Amino acid sequence: MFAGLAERGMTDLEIIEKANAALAEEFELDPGRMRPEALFREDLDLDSLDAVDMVVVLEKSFGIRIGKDPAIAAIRSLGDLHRYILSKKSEMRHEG
Amino acid sequence: MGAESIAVIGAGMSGVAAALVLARRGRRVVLVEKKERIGATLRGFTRGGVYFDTGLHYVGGLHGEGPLTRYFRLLGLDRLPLEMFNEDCFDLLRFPGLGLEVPLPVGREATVRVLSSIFPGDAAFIRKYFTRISEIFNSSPLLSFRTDASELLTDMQNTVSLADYLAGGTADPVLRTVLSIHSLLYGVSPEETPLHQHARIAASYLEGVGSVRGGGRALVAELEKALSLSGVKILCGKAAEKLRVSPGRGINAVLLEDGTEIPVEGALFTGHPHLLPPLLPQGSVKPAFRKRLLSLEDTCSAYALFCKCAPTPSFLRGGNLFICPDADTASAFRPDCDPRRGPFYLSGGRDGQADLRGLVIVAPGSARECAPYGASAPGRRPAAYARLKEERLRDIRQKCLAHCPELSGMSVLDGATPLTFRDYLDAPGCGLYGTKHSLHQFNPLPLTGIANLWMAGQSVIAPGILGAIVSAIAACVFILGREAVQEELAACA
Repeated sequence: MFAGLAERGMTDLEIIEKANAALAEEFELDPGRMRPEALFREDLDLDSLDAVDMVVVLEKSFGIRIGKDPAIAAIRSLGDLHRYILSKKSEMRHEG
Repeated sequence: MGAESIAVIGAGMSGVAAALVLARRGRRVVLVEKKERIGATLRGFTRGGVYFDTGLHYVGGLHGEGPLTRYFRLLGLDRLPLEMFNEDCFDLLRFPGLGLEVPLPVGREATVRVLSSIFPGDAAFIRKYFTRISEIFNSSPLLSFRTDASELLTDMQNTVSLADYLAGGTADPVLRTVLSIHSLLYGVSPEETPLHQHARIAASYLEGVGSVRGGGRALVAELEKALSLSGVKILCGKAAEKLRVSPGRGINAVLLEDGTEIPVEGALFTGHPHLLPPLLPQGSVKPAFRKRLLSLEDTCSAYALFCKCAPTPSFLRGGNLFICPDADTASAFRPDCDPRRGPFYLSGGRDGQADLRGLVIVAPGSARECAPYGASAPGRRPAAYARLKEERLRDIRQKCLAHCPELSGMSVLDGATPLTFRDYLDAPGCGLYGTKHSLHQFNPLPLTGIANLWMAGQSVIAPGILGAIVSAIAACVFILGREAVQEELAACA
């Protein structure tokens, strides 16, 4: 089940686009505001409670397991989130 | 306009606890319950003149300054009659295949001593384990009566499973089973349970182990008295059907199924998390929040036998028996679990004067096995379901008799399946303790996406009587403010 991303062979750009699309839908965000430098709290009106839902959205979208990863707490911007998700991809390739 | 009014939805342990605290702080509280009376799970039931507990079997923390003693005091239950379990053995673990019996005594030092004598090669780890779970328990905010809101919301340190922690400390599978047997009291596999979560529950059973004299119905009777003095308005027999939400004010009314509309200035939902999203109008919370609540998985389910047992075997007087034919506790929590493999939990059977209480035998059960009959209602199940139930209950009875000949005089008065629990507990996934507090899912917090909508109950923070009360107190921290709750906690010290 952890091979999901690697098997699909998505490019980094495709992964970022997929993450953005899922977040836009699940948090009713304006896609025009979803730039990498956008801060969750200040620019996208998402708070620490939303962070939990975000983890679940990403787990479901990518078929991966993030769980209670302390690294989530350090994510401030959409770009941080993209880097985090891409780091999960390389970890999975390493394991696979 | 008087004090702000709050609807508490669900009159189980958590809802009643919250209603009592809110009312004492001057809030006008309306307690809404879909069942006919409050405390449906705690209340138990009677068959053939024998009373059976369903929500309360035994608890810890009932000693002088124990957390449950203090919380009962906080709820005005000072006169609750208690019965303490045997100091030298409140839980007996029987491993029939090994010819081994392990008694768990009350008290951390006594427990370490007894287990070290049975597992001498692991004495150092046994001490380390009990020290660790006690540390976690004592540093948990609401178990040590601290109310720092930020502490209540941080749960990120929970990254080690109980199973991994135990595997790192001992190679003995029997000792690992002994140390994780209380996972049956919260219904999540040791493989999925964060060590921290296990500690908050298991360490509560290190001191002050016992129950309420007269069982769960005696506790409900005291809660009813406390409610009648509190000014809380109780509406039973009517389900909340919708919460009305306005953009600026959040929740402003609760609509009941009979069309009654109750204007409120906030609501605390204490039911199963799957039951909240249908109450919320579209667009009132983000889709991600709604989906997360609906995707939460339940704790384990069970089959249960309700038996009359005369005379009561000595080990069930002031204690429980766990029969573990198989040392692998984790198998009991898998979706393909076999109820015949156990472990079996046996409780009750006390036959004191005016307190004829039946023996309850609980065996692991999977919701999946009963799923084909899920559309049927109690009393109108298909014949195939009746056969499955009969077969399962017969097998469980036979296994228990084989492993526990002391029960030869028992007669089975009734039985339950995962579907029975689904309908009786109002738990859509058949779970005995709400949704799983697991490494792999995020349970609700007291706060929701709506500023004046809060959550409590077994799925928030922790399950069981103590967990349900703690979750109610946590919600009150956000509703009333930290100082108010701190005052209440200080007053019951």
